Amino acid sequence: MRVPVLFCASGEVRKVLALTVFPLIGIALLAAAGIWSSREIRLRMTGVPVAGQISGMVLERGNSAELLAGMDTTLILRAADGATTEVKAKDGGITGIRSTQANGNESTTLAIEDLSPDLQRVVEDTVGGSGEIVRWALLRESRRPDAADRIVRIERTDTVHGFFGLESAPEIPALRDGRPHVEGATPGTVTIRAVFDRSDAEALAARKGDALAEYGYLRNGEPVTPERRDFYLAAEPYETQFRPVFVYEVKGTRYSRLSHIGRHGGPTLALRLYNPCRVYYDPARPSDALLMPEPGALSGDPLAWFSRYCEGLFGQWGGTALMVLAAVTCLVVGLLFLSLAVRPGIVIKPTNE
Amino acid sequence: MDPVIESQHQRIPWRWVLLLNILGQARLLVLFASGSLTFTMRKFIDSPMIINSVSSLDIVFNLLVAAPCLYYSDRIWTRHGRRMPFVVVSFVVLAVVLILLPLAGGAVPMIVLIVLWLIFWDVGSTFDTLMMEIIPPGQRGRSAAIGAWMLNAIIMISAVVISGRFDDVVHGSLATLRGEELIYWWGAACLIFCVIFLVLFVRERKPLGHPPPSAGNGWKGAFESIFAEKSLWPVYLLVFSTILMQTGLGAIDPLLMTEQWGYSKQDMGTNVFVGGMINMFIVIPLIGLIADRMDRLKMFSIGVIGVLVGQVAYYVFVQFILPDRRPSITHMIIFGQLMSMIGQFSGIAMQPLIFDYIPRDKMGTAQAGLNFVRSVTRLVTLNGIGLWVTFYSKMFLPVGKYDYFSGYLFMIGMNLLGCGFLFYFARQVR
Repeated sequence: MRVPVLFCASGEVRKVLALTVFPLIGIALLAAAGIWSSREIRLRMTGVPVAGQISGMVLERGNSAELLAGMDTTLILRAADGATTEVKAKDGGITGIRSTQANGNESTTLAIEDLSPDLQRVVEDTVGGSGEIVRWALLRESRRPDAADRIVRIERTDTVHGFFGLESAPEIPALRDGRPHVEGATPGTVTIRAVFDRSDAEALAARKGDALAEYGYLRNGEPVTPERRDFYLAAEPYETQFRPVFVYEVKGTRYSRLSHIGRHGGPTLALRLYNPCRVYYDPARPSDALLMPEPGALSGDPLAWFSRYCEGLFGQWGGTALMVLAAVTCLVVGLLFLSLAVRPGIVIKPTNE
Repeated sequence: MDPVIESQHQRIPWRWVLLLNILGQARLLVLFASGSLTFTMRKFIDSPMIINSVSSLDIVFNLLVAAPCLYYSDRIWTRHGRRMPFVVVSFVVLAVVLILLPLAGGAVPMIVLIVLWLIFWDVGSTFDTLMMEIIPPGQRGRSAAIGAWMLNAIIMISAVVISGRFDDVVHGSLATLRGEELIYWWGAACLIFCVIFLVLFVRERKPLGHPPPSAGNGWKGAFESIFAEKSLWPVYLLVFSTILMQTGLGAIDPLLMTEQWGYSKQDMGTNVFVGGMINMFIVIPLIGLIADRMDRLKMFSIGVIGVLVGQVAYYVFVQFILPDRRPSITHMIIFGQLMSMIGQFSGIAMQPLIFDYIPRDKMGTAQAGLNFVRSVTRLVTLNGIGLWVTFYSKMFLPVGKYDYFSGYLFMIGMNLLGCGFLFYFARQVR
């Protein structure tokens, strides 16, 4: 059996070897951090920055994957007085709002700015939010019982266009009609219709206060029971990994890439679907690109912005930062021990020894 | 040329103190990494009752493992010292546990690993004693100040950099790294750092005096002697009531923020980061300023009543005033810091108040009894809150949903009960 050198060497040699341990670990960790993030560091330092957008989301399960390439949403909000507001959205952007009065006679086409502040907030929250956010929006509305225009029922239908049942995540999704596309795979749809209703107090009590009254999940027309009764990105079990697909343009050519940053349990705060992002591409090979989250200018709740900023920064560099921190600590500790070897300092032993 | 750090000296170089503080903080970073255990358990366990029960085993092992290890480390001597064997064995096992934990594929291996974690963390409880044996009394004050400064730095690092990484997945050019692996393996790396440090550079010197004699009569004798002294019963009641009033959500607290209120783990980190800054720069100096100008009993009363009022106010604010029953991070920080500030009033006044009622010749016995009462009460309240949340949710929520915030009702109930006992205590000692 071979005995490590450190333990069979003579006293002085052993001490010298011991002194080299922490500096060597520190240097090794610095090298490991550099190797681990070499591509990211190279693209961040030498790449050309360009504005990009998160245009799709890959959902990776154990042995299958799905690509969300586009989403159409129809939202019907019904107020307590019977008036309805119908909102259409495509790929994260509102494309039309139609308001119908309580008597059903008069229909008006509106812009989001034309809506009352309360209704505007409900629309913004619920058009792309998870089921829980829709529940909170309805609960918030129910707290103004005297307002006739309070929303009491929200019906949302999401049609997700994409590629389902893929064997693995498509590394470089192609683009077709501006949406990510997997060559050779058959596109499909997932349709999710959910009705959240707080208009009937008895029915609400029978559901133990849950506003979700109706729910249906169809994949290519076939009913499916998801892990959670929620919209597409919130219906998955924790193990599912969400990886954004980002799009950017270089000299008139549009590129689409799968992000190297993913997340379990839901998309990351810093890389939300259809949000802008920053892309650093290799000028010699524009298809080689790095996605960086773009927290945007400080707006809204500053603490929420700070969280997004940190999530973006450390989601990308967290592992590297910890390796560098460990390396610096090892180097400092190594140097301190080295200094003790050169100048031991004053040690006063117990007087009775 | 001997860079080895040794115990049992009357004065040591300040560089030793600095190095030992770095070592101590590396161990604390492991503790912060273990803060993600709730989320690891949540992957396989739904019930808050079970999650809190597993977490509360910590208290059981505090009594069953940490206490005997500390006791025997006073009475043994090996060629590697008396504290070091416990610490090194503990750190090596903990590092292995942390490496395996994110790879556990089911509830059973995960619980086994968590139980091992809790046991061996307590085996390593001789670490603090080892540090105190190396740092002489005359240098402990400044060492504590260095440690406090470093602690604040690592709290910030943990909150901002580490705690939010749990769900992340980074697909590097060499390998894929999940955030859960990053957090626990970072913890394991800190432990390996500690082991290398201790094995290569720390040496225990045999103490000159004789080891203290064995207590005799084993556990039974010790237990009986703790409770035989009737004059200490009111003090135990005082501590029992204050622990009731300190009931918290325990391991389900992070689930309230993430699952019920929909915040991310990074938001949680932001909460700790900003709260920590306010605590460090405003709350602690303010408390220090007020503490010297106020009567201790008055401070204690303000603390006790204030925390109860604060909890009720927070519950009413969230449940009945906020339109969507969901506080913002700012709300959480404001209420959290207010309650922390008020809580510190009773905390500062508590210790001297307790010892006012303990005769000098019974302080050792009282300390042992107080630790026992504290541990058992915490064990009961932690499991109680898990049970409460589970049954409350079963009664009032659809299947599979949990109202973690209902735990505040339990906390308020325990606080009221604690106040009742305190009132009784006050009447007894008057």
